[in-house]
Amino acid sequence: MQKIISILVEDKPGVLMRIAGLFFRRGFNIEALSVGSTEIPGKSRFTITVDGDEAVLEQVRKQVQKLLNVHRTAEHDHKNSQLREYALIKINFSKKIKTEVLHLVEFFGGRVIDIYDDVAIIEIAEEESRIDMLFERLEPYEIIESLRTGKVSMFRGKRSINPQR
Amino acid sequence: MKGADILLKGLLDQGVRVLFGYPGAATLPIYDRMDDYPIRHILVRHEQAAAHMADGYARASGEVGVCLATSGPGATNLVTGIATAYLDSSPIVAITGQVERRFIGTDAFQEVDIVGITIPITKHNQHILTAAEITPALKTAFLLAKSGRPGPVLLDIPKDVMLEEAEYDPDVDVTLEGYNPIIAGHGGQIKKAATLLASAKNPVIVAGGGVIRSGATDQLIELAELLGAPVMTTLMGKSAVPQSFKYHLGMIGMHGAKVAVDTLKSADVIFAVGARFGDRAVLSYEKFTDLAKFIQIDIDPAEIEKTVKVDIPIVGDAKNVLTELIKRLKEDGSVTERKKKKPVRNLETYDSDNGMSIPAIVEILSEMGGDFIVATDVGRHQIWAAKYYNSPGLDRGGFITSGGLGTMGFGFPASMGAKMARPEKKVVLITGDGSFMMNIQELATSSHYNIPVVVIIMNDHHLGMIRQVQDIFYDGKYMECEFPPNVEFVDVARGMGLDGVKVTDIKDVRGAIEKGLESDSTFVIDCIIESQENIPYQSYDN
Ligand SMILES: Cc1ncc(C[n+]2csc(CCOP(=O)(O)OP(=O)(O)O)c2C)c(N)n1
Repeated sequence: MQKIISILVEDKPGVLMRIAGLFFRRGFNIEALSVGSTEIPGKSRFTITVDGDEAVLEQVRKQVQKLLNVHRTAEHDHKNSQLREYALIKINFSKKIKTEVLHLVEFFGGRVIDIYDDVAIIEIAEEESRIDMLFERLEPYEIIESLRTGKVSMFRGKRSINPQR
Repeated sequence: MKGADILLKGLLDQGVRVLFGYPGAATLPIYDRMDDYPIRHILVRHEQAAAHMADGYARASGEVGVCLATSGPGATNLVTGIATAYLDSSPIVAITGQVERRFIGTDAFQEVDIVGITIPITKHNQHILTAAEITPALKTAFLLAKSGRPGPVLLDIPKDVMLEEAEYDPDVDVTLEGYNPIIAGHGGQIKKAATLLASAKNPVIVAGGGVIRSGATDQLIELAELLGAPVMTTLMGKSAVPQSFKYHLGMIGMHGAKVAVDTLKSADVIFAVGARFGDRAVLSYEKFTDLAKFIQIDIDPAEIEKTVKVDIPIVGDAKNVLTELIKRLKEDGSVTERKKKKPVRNLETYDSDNGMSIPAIVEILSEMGGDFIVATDVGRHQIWAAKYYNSPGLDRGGFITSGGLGTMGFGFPASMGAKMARPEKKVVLITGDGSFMMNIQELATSSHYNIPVVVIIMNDHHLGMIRQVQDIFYDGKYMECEFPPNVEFVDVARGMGLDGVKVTDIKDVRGAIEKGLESDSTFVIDCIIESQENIPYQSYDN
């Protein structure tokens, strides 16, 4: 079962190691991990996508919650949250195929952010499955390089991971 | 004030009066300032022993034990002791020296990432980067070590930080956002538990180490009497309830008492208090969960349902929750009927053939019935001590053993720590020839500071437990579990300024122990025993 967990932490050195260590120790593979700052000074937010059995995942969440630098954890799903991923795709953009590629990218909600030497960089921020589809459709046009950030997620409505809210 | 002074003053303000340590270049600034403070330093002979002593001190007193080691090898020598404290939730603070800040990350002489190494075995740890951070870090460390679920905390301090000047502000505020141990149990859950217990036909109470940590012995006894329910303990919970308590049935688990395991099998409600259902206690998670309905109290939410499915979880401090629960049950009044049932009482005893065997010697010690602290090492002797040591005096943390990690070499230094914490009590160590050898150098420390412990070595010239496992699970193929009889423990003790006696006849055991108890320094009793007898295994199969 795939789970998406948000973790609000103190922005201190070593926090990543403590959290990653807990997942490692219990034999979980972290499928995706993103970290960045938040609206609260001195606090960062992790989004971790992980696969595993429900009970064991719950145990990992409780263990993570025990870390002193961790202030909150929360779980996301399609119903309660908006789940997004960001990708950059560098692709052949020679005259012959340009229009087709552009058309596809626009259809999936991405955009071209750079063109240089007949090569374009495309960005897309979408749901994972839509990004998967875009990759599939771009496959025939020679992808030179690509990256994906893994999921980030935010609750819908007033619910927030910020304990002050 | 220098960082070293801030540290020592801070320790003093936390109530620390004794440090167990071993110096090195990285901690010399602390040692240089030590004689200005009324703190006693015990110079151990191996840092591992310093951690175990701090742990024994903590277990015997409920206070935080503190150990101190230099950077690099000194710090890594603490690791086994820290892990031992972590698995048994014992509150210790370990302070390690680190290389100067400018050398950090350069693989400098005696540089090791002790914070990285100890992340998985500490409740929290911290690398301190300025002298100003020492006070808040120390306050946080003590708060964390002893509150909630207790555990070890490590502080790593670079040598130059100990020399750096800063203000000492004892009132500095350390509010810890995100750390709010739940002490009071949830009212609704307590109510549910009361209803289930009141309607149960055969409820049993399983007491773990959490009862000792929270000081909930009185409440546990009251509850057992109210319910007319038998009490059994895990290995860590052995001294949670006095051995003389009329509902006490002994230990559950792999090597537990048959009567306890059988009673557990016939229970309809199992009420676990501060017990984490470790694999040794539970035997088979599948069978165990089939047995009955479960109620579990634990201060650590992560312990709830970690291994066993629980019907009514209650997060909170055992003493608090039990007090509330008892109040509810009394108001409710429906449990009085069952109380009339006679308590089952059938403590395990050993059919002694008068030979020199571990259980026979443990029974002699029990009969002597002293109000002393008993510590053990790890092996056959540990299990037999847990099974058969039944002194009426034994309660409230009087049994000190390494349950979670099963650390050989723990017993002797932990005994010395316990003796430092409770000087008015006699401390008796039951150990094996293998285990004792693992920290035998501490005889020198004991003799140096005169920290008296009665050491009973169950000397079978074997790693007895290994021999037993090879006997039962490896077709009796004994590999590397026998020691040649080339160590005279009494001579070793004499060589370190202490005394002892070698005993080969069971008739002489009692006299030897009496002599040990009368001695005002550590006394080593080298009991030469048989090596064949196996401890029975329990199972949930019928
Ligand atoms: C540090 C450590 N190393 C190895 C073990 C594995 N082990 C468990 S019991 C045991 C034998 C203990 O022998 P001894 O101390 O003589 O006690 P006995 O079983 O003979 O009573 C060993 C080697 C351990 N628990 N701890």
